[in-house]
Amino acid sequence: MATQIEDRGFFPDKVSERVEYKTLSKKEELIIYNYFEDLFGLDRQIFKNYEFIKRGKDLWICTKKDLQTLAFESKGLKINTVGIRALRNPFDDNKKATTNFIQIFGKYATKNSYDLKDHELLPYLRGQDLEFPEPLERGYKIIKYKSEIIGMGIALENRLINQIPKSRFIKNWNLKSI
Amino acid sequence: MQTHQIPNVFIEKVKKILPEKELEDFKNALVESPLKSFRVNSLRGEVKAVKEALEAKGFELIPMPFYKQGFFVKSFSMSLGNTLEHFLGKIYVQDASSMLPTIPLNAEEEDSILDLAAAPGSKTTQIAADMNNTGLIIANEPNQKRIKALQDNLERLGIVNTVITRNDGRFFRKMPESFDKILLDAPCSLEGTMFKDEKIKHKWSHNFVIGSARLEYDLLKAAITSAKQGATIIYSTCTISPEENELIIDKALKEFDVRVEKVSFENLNTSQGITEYNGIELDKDVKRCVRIWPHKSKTGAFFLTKLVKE
Repeated sequence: MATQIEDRGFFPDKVSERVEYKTLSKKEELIIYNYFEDLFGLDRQIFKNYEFIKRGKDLWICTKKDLQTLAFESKGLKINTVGIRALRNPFDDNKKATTNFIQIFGKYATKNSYDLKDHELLPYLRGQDLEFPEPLERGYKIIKYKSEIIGMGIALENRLINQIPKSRFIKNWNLKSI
Repeated sequence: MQTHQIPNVFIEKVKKILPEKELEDFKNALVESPLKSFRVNSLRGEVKAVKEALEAKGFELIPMPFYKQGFFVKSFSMSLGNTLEHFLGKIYVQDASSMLPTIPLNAEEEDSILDLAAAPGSKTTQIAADMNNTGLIIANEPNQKRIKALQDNLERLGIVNTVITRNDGRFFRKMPESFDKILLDAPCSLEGTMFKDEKIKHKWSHNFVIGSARLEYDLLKAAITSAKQGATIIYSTCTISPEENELIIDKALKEFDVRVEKVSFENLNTSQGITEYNGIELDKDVKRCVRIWPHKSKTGAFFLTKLVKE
């Protein structure tokens, strides 16, 4: 079975393989801005110096100047990635912001965040889910610790499902780490 | 590794460019590992706060006298990679000498910059922080396997302004007059580091040096061609042989309309480039190149030149 990276054409197998980038239409832009605003209270103004672009099944974010490079593809420039991945499945019901995106822009969020307590941080950084006696409001949460943005999680009744990418888990954490 | 295992052919070559009295110190420094070091990613953390947080975890840190975001780690209680600061992208573990090329590059917001041999992204992420994540960096790496490490580092440090490309670096001659600044930290014969490593030390040979030099000059030609008029080009290597350093710059000065600008680093012991080698007289401006000898600087061996396209 292909890994997520292979599945999404993250690294084209062949040097000649080309992944298409598409800028968003006004309507698509509105869907994205509304999503971030409704879910996390992210004002669209924070994205004014950036561009969202479609790449395969995902949405990526880059600077406006990054887009100039796309014009050189026809001259043989082999573009691997532009900026960083922001959102998976951006135009489906199961769209999800990435940890890397949220670690940059999550500081501007005004809602749907969860503040980890001291004893919860270490297990969460190890990739574990958290359980609670009372149910949380269902849905995606920005996971914070004090003023730091740790990443993403999904609240499902009494559980907070860990959304930190496996590659970022560090198994050798100990209490001194934090 | 013992110093007597350094190839004699290499030592004979060094004797031509280093005073005899320094040779033993040089050989010892070449096989010793320099102090571990890291820098603070200013996109994610304040230098003072990160330093204090790591010190509270038991790290003993020495600020780098020549780079305010950099620290040597004198003693540590755990791996830097196991800290919350690393997870959050506030720090990047990097050799001290490898932090130097971006200083004279002087990256600014909204620049268009080409990092011609970018993986694993140490300098790309450093440049992005200097640009405050604005403008454009093209981070080129032809080796598909090394691109993964580059992408991982960009993501962990929160870099948005970078486009990763996978061209042979010589391709960029087809993008003339395109960039404000170019970093060519060239793929070299690694003489500054290879004799510390049992696994790769046998790779060294005179032919390896000559082959590397050929590629380095081709890459420098592409860098100069793709630079705008007035653009800065930083050429650097972590190797010692003049064939890959001063001789490359001498050739570029003869072939292109470029000049060498003087570079200095505060509180770092550096030496000038050599202007005579094997009986050949080089352009006198080659002395403006910077050589960093490991026994003098207490960092890894390094060579660096700042060229400006006329």
